[in-house]
Amino acid sequence: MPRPTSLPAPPTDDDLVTRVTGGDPAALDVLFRRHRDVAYRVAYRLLGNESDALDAVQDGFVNAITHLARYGRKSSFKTWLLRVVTNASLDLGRVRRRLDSRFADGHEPYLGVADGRLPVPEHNLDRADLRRVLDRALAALPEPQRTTFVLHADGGLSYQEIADALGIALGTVMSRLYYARQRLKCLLAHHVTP
Amino acid sequence: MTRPDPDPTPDDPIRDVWANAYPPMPSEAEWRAVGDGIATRLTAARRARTTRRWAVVGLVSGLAAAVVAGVLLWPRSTPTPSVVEVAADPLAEYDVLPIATESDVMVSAVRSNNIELVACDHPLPGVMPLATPNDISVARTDAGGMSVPTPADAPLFVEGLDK
Repeated sequence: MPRPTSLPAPPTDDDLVTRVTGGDPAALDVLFRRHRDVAYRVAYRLLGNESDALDAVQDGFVNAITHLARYGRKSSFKTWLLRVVTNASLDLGRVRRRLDSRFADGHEPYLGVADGRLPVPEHNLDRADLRRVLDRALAALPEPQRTTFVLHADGGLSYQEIADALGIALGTVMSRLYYARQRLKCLLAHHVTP
Repeated sequence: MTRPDPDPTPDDPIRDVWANAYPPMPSEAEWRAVGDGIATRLTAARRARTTRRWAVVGLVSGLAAAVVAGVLLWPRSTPTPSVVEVAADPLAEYDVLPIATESDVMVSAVRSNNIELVACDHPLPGVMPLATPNDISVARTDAGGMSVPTPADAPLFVEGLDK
C-alpha cells in the first residue's frame, strides 16, 4: 500500500512573481488564478459592470507585472496588484464617464446618482437590483472614500495594507472608512435591515 | 483571508447588503480570455523590451565603434605637408636671360684642339644667351630664404677667368 505523501507547499507569490518575470507561463497562470477573483470584485465595485471590470483586471495584471520595479516587494503582491487594478479601474471609469457625458441622450449617468438619492424600493429587490442600488450608492461616494471602502470590503485588505496601497496614513484610512459607512448607511437606509 | 482590523461596527447592516449584492462572477471562458490576453500582452511587452535592449546595445556598440574609429583615423599631430603654391615663373617674360652681357664677360682666349685662339672681337656680342627659360625650371622661389624678384637679381655664377 503506498504511503500517503504530503503535498508540496504551494509556491508563494514572491516565487511566482520571480518566475513570471523570467517568462514562465505556468507561474503566470497560477498567479492569475490565485488573485483574479479579488481583483475582479474590486474592479467591479469601482466600475459597476462586468465587461469593464474584466478589462481593468487585465490591465491591472499586465501593469502590475510589467512595473514590478516600482513594486519593489515592499508589500504583498496582492496589495500591489489591487493598487494597480484600482488605478486601472478609476482610469477606465473616467474614460467611460467622459464618453457618457459626450453621448448623453437622456439615459442615466454612468453609475451616477443624479440627485444624490437612490430609488426607494417598492418590493423586495432581487440580487441584480440590489447590486445596482449598491453600485449607485458607491458611485455617490467621493472617489477616495469609495476606493478605500472597496479595497477593505471587497479587496479584503487590512487598514495598513490599504494605507500602503494608496500611499496614505493609517488614520486617513480609518476616517475615510468611517465616513464611507455613514454615507452608505444613509444612502441604503431603505435597503438595510436595522 | 483573515482581516486583522476589527470591524468598527460588527453589526454593520451594510455588510449584509454587501454580501447579498455579490458581483456576478465571469465564466471560465471569460477568465480564460482575460488570462490569454494578459499572457499575450506580457509576451509582447517582453519582446518589445528585448528589442529595445538590443537596439540600445546596437546603438551603444555603434557609438563605441565610431569613437574607436575616430580615434584611430583622426589625423595625428605630425605636420602634414602643406600644399605649396608654386608662383608663376618670374622669368617667363624673358626670351633670353640677361644673366650677363658682353661687358660683363671678357673672353681672352678660346680653347680649341689644344690651341688657344686669341679672341679679337667678342664672340658673343650683346646679351649672352647662356640659358633660356626652357633650360631653367623654378622649383621654389624662396629657397633658403633668398628671393629673386627679378632676373637681374639672380646670382651670377661665372667660371673663373684665366688672366
